[in-house]
Amino acid sequence: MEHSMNTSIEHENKEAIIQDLMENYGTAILHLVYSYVKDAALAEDLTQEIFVKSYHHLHTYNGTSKMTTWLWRIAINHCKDHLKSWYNRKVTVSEQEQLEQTKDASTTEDAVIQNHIDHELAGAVMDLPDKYREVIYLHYYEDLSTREMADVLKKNENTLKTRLKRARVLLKQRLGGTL
Amino acid sequence: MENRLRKLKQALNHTSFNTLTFDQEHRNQVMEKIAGQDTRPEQIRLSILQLLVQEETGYTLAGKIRSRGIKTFENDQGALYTTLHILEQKRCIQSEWKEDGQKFYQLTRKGRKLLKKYESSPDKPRVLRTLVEAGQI
Repeated sequence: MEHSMNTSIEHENKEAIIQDLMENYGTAILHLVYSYVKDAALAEDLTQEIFVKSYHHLHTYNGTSKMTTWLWRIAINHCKDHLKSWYNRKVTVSEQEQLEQTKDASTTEDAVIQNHIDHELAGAVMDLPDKYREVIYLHYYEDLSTREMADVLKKNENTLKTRLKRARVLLKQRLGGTL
Repeated sequence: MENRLRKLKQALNHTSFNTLTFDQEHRNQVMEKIAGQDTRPEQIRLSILQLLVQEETGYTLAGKIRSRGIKTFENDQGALYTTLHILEQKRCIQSEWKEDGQKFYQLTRKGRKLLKKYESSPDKPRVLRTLVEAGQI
């Protein structure tokens, strides 16, 4: 997540900056988006839109926060806008099947067990309600501290700490004895 | 739970994220979308050159520019002809009157070379600048 930028961004540098951001963080943003929308094709579309949006909003980057924080914020807002949109509320996609399908694919015994453990955890996290999935993802996948999360999500740090706690309880309930 | 969550990275990378990569093709599509929406003079001139790989009249060209999402000439068709004139003076394009009284525009060899240079250049903005700077390229 380390990336610093000059405060003044010249017009002709904009494309180069976006190229740079895409090369360094494209896949990370795609994963982040997927954690919100749980659909691969949709995540790809939204990620592209996020970079186009970033290009047009480069001037709003003021240099005080890290460039990545700025980018993450745009990405998260874009995901949330999508989740709130009419299209998303009216049109449902079935992602669940895809998760189920990959569950069977394994060869050796160890791989099967590891695969099972991975799937169980990933599945449980992806099944969490949006606001809990968000904090678990940012904290344990993106390694953001609660302080950084508060900055990116524009929420009170204590609210997020409570959410994290609650999310862990939910996961524990779901995963039960396999801890 | 804490210990188990520490392995979330591995778990997600092995499962849901396994096939999710933002590759070169995705990046190119983003740059194309940006170029389509960009209305800076050099971008517009680049679009004109890209469109003039085949012969166009001012009228058909204007339509194609519009369908690229560039609205600059929407209410100012005259500006398109000014731009065409400048590009002609830079010897990037040439025009020809046909027998039916229509004027056709097309890339010159120099224009083609410039497009090629743009496509392969690591410093695209620099190539673009030559399109708006005064004088010959």
